[in-house]
Parts: sequence; structure tokens; C-alpha cells
Amino acid sequence: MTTVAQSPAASASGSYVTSQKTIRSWLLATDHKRIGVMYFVATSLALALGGLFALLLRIEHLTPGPTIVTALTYNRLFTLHGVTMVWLFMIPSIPAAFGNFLLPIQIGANEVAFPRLNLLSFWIYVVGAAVVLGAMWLGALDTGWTFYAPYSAQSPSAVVPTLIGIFIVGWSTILTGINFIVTTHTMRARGVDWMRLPLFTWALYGTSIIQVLATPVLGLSLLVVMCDHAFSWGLFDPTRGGDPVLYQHLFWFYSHPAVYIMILPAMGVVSEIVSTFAHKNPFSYEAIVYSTLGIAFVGFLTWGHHMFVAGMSSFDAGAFGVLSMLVAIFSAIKVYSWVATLFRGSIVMATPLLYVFGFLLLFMFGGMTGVAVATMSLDVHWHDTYFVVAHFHFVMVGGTLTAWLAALHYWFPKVTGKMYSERLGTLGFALVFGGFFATFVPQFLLGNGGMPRRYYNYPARFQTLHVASTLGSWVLAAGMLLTLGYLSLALVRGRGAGGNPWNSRCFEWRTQSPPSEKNFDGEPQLSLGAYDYTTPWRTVQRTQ
Amino acid sequence: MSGQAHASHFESGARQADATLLGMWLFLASELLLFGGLFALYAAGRFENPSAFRQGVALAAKTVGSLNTGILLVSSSTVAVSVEFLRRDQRHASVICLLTTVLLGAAFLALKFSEYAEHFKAGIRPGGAGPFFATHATPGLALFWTLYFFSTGLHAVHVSIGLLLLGSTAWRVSQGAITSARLYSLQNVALYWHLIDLIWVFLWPLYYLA
Amino acid sequence: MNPERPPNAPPLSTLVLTGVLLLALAGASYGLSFLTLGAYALPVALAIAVCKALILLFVFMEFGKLSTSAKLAAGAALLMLLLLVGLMLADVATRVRPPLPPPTVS
Repeated sequence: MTTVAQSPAASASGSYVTSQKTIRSWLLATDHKRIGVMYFVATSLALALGGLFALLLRIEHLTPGPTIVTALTYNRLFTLHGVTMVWLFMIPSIPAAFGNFLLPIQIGANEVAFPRLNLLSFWIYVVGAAVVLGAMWLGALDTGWTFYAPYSAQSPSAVVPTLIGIFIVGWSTILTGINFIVTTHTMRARGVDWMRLPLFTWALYGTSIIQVLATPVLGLSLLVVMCDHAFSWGLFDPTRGGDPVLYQHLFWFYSHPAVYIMILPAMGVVSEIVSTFAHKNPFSYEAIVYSTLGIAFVGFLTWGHHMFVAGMSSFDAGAFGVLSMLVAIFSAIKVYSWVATLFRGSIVMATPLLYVFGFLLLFMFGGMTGVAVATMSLDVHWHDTYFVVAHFHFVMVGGTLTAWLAALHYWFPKVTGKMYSERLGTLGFALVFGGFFATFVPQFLLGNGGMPRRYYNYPARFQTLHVASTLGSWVLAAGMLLTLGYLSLALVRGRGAGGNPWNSRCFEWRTQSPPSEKNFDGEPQLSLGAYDYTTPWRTVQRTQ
Repeated sequence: MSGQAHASHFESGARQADATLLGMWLFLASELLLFGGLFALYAAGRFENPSAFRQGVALAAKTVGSLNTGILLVSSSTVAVSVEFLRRDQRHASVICLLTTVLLGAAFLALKFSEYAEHFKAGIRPGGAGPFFATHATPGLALFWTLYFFSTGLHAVHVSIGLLLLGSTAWRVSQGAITSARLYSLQNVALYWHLIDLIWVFLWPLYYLA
Repeated sequence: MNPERPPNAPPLSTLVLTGVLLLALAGASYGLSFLTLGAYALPVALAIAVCKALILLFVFMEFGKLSTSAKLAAGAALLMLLLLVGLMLADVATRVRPPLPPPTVS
């Protein structure tokens, strides 16, 4: 292990953790780092809950017939799993938790542009999440996380309370997006120009653009469904002139860019970890930046590929099919750049890099299956089967969740000042990666073989693959629980990490661990680049 | 001579003003897209049911709707003038203009609700409910009227929020909490009001004129 | 005096005249709506609306004086709006509706 690089102003002088110690000072914090930590706790709880729903679903699928729940409960479980995971975990997990903590530090600022708005965004998220989960007590809903009309207007379940909760959470997303964009524009330290920003910052910027522009359309589509359900307004009812396909247009106009909200920050994490652990500047900084912006823009043009069999016109289907191919180009450029960065780098193996390797494999595979389902002639066969389920779990779990775990292990020493056990980290990775593979590879085979998604029972010939998938989910869950365990242990009893345990050049590693309340002492000196590995660390430190 | 000090995390008052203005425009962008879906539903609905939509427009309360358009346009002028007055440190005039804007906005809402009442009396209710639709059973007509209620209703919610913002801003200006040195607080509320007017500028022809 | 007052703030007379212009355009649109313009009625009304919108945007909302980033934000929103409306309308407009089969005699 290389010597742990120290950064100036060691933590004896106090940090954002020790500056004030009351609960009130946390709950009403306007410090972006504290808000980031609170988001982390909240989103992690959502992850656990969503994971629990998933485990129950998988147990139900151990046998072809009823196993542990009724059909109605099964429908509610997969809906809750989707809703909890998408809105309460995937969307905020990296941006709101890690983004809040790191964005100001990475641009050399001591706060976001609107700290009180930031706190408000957090509490809006909490209220929205509480409403969504409170709707469980009213019986939750059984429409699937996509709430397709006309069933969502008719389902005798707690549609309206759940949608109200998601509507509220959406405002948290929009306000955070506004805050991050304005912060990046107006709070950069002297010398931190746009093309010197850390790549994670660029990723957050692209994500925030999508958040601001796409989420309102979701808000509207939910409002319409709420009125249709509560007051029978029938805006999507064909007998009253409505068109259910139009609901899907509105829903997917948001929900496709939403998956880029989920993946762009993950890609930003990968960019950071790749450079740090290869000890090398990115193969092409510009390629990553422009691909990020490219994904943010082109991602808005592809939503119809979710609607190939819905009754959309073939003109639109053709247009969306072609546009969907375009967005994959940017992801490919990024993967190429990451691999080229690692090539001939001075690689140090550590848990964050393990997760990044996992990401590269799983995201690439998931992405390619995405291109496959974006091909209309193939999607006719795979739509609404487990093939699609496997595809999006590969990119969302194999992609985003893996990157979230990478981020967790990478920035844990910065946020907490402690270090975890590398051996347990490796074991955790093995369980998570292996468990993931075992859970979702069978699902491609299931889907291709004709197993539909969201089906409670299935023909007996699919049972072997289902059992394999369920066993895999237990391994995955074990890996997650192990990770929770050793990280909690490290929080309490881990050894001190120092300012820069990974010997990175990125700006956040030039502060102490945990960072002080104001992030930097005085004006941050960030003249030496975030990826300048040719300059020795000693020289960088002298400029601080 | 200084106005209020700027917030400590900004390096200057100018920077804070820039940041707040950019933040406000991003918020306006999100509001535009919130209404966007409704315009999209209208476009698709009109394409599918052209004669039903024209029939709906013909039944709309054109006079009231047009009066409301005039009211909103004047109110945008008064709020713009109020910003300009505050820029010149003429606090009293600014407050008067703000209160005028509030009155005009309230008049808009009053007319709007009276219009809804008229529709209900004529048996036109959202969702194709109401006795009117028993005798006029074209599906497109139900769609037109439900979209009308939804769009103008969502707009009215925004007008109400705007009135609250204008009122509280008028109070803060009168108390000296908002001055020419921190104009952006008033500017942002004015921008919100202008967006509300902008949305109506497009709702009016779609539901009342053509 | 406010040191940050932009040198090119609009004079009061401009604002009042703009209001009058907007009312005039609205009046024109109102008047035109009584003529039978057939298929042109909606495009004409919307075109006048676009003019009013541009006036509101550039005079009252001072769009021209904004930073590039703020202009981009507004532009991106408008673009996305047009995309949403455009592709939804395109769907509805390009759907092929095959003729129903003749009723069978039972």
C-alpha cells in the first residue's frame, strides 16, 4: 500500500461533524455536507426497503403457483419495489447524497448557491417519501411503477396518495437540480474554469439539467392521473375523447431521461475512480464532458422506445428507434475512454476499483441489451418480458448501484475520516457481483423464453431459472448486508484515513478528512489540475 | 453607500444577484414544462377531434376570457413598472403598483370562478359530467372541456400563488426589506407573474378564440 | 443611489407603451376571432400570441439582458416543450387507421 498522503490542516481543529453536535444542528443544517449525509441515510433506508420488496417478490417466484403472497399483494409489491427504488433511491442516491457533499468542494466553494433551499429540498424529499410509504398503510397500489392509464384511473387502490407523494418528491429533485446548476455557474473558485472541473461535477451538472427539464412533465402526468382517479375526469378515457397512449408519451418523456439522471452521476463516479486508481489523467477529458452533455440532450429524444407495442404510429416508432441508437454512442465513448485511462496506468487495486470493474462489465452488457431492445423488431418479442427486466436491472443495479457502492467505498474516508477493512470490502464486492450475476442473468433467459414480467404465476418450465434467480438475490442481499456491517464497524472503530488515502489529485482530496465546516481554509489554491498526476503530491500540497 | 450585506457564502452582491436570477429562470423553465404536457394533450386532442374542439371554443365565455386577458396584460405592466420604480428608489410608488397588480390578479380569479360557475350552471363539468354532455355526446367535446378546466385550473392555482408572492413582496418593499440594492427579490416575483401571463397568452386563443 | 442599477434599464414610458401595445395586439386577436377565417383562425391567433409572448419576454422579462446560461436554460425548456408537443402530435397524426372489416351477417 502506498504511503497515505496527508493534506494540510489535519483534523485536530474540528470538522463539519464536530462543529456542532446537537440533533437540531443536523436536522436544520444548511451545511451541504450535513445535508448530503442526511440524504445518504434517507436514501439508504429506501434502498433497504426496496430491496426487501424485491426479496419478497423473488421468494414468491420460487414456485410456479402461489407461494407466500396473494396475486393482489404481489402486484402491490412489484409496484412498491419500483416506486421506492426509482424515486426514493435511484434518482437521489448519488446526486443528492454524494453530490451535495462533494459539489461545492470540487469547485472550490464553501457552500452551494442556495443553502436554505438545499435544506428545504431535503425535507420535501422526506415528506414526499413519508407520503408514499404512508400510502402503503392505505393498501398501496397495484398499477406498476409506470401507472399506465386507463388502469391507474380505475384501480381500487391507493393511487392518489402514492402519486401525491411522488409529486412532492419530484419538487425536491427539481430544486436540487436548480441549486446545483446555479452553484456550478456562480460559485467556482478562482482558477476553476469549466474545462478544469472534476468530471463528477460535470456529471452532476448534466444530471441537474435533466432533473429541471424532465421532472415537471412527470408532475403533470401524475396530476392528470390523480384527477382521473379521484374525480373521474377521464382525460385518458377513450369514451371521453382521451387516448391512453398519450399518457405513456407524457410519462416516458420524463422517465426515459430519468434513467439518465440515474446513470450520469454513476458515470461521474467511475470517471473519478478510474483516474485515481490508474494514477493517470483521463484518456480524453473532453470526450467525457461532451458525452455527458450529449447523453443529457439526446436522452430527451428517445422516450418512445418504451412504447413500441403500445399503439404509437410507426413513424414515431421509427424516429425513436433511430434516436435511441444515437444515445448509446455517447456511453460507448465513455467506456472506451475509461478503459483507455486504465490502460498503462499505475493501477492500485482497492474496493472502489473492484466495483468500477464490475460496473464496466455490467453496464456494458446492460447497455448492449438496451440497444437490442431499442430495435423495434426485436422488442416486439421482448417487450414486457423478463428480458427487459434483466436489461434495466443490469444498467440500474449493475450500473448505478454498483457505482453507488464504488462511491461509498471511495469517499467513505473523506466523509468520515475513517477507513474500512479492504478484505471485507473485497468479500462484499464478490458477494454483490456474484449475487447480481446469479440474480439477473437467468432473467434474460426467462424473458427470451417468453416469461412475462409482472406475472404472479408462471408455467412450470420456467421454475429452474426462477429458483436460480432467487438464490442469486440472497447472495446479493448477503453482500449488501455485509457491506452495511463492515462500514458501520469502520465508522465506529476504523483507523484514521488521513486527507488523501488514495493519493488522488482531485480537489476534494486536498481538504482534511472529514472536511472542516467551511471546506477550505481561506481561498482554495486549485491551480494544479484535478487529474495532474505528473506533479508529485508534495508539490500539490505546497500550493495549498 | 451600501444596501443590505449580501449572503456570506457569496463573494459579492452582484454574484448573489446573478445566481438568484439564473435560479429563477431555471425555475421558470420547469414551470413552462409543467404546462407543456397540457399543451401537448390539447394539440393531440385537437388533431383527433377538430370539429368538437371548435365547437367547444364556440361555447366558451369569450368576453370574460378576453377581459381576463386584458387584466393580466395590464397586471404585467403594473408589476414591471413597480420593479422600475424600486430601481429608482421610489418605494411608495413601487408598492402602489404591486398592490394594483394584486387587485388585478384578484379580479382575474373572481372572473375565472364566475366563469366556472356559469359553465356548471350550463351543465358543463369536467370529466364529461354534467347534463350538457348527455345532449352533446361527442367524446372530443368532453375532452375539450376537461382539458379546459384542468389547464385554466392549474393556471388559476399559479395565479393564486402569484398573488401571495406579490402581496408578501409588497409588504417587504414597504418595510424596506427589499430595496434597489436587492432588487432581485422583487424581480423574481415579477418574473413569475410574467410567466403566468405568458401561459395565459397561449391558453386564451386555444380555448376562447379559435 | 443603487450602484448596481444596469445602465440600460427601461424607462417608465417604454413599459407603459409596451402594455398598450400588448392590449392592442390582444384587441386585434379578439376582433379577428369574430371573422370566419376557417382553418386559418387558430394559426393567426397563435401567431399573435407568439408576438405578445416575445414582447413580454424581451421587454418585461428583460430576456435580452440575461446571462448566456439563463438564456440557454430558457431556450432548452422551449426546445423540450416543442419536442414533447411535436412528437406527440406526430404520433397522433401519423397513425394508420385501417378500415374496419365489413360487418358479418349472422
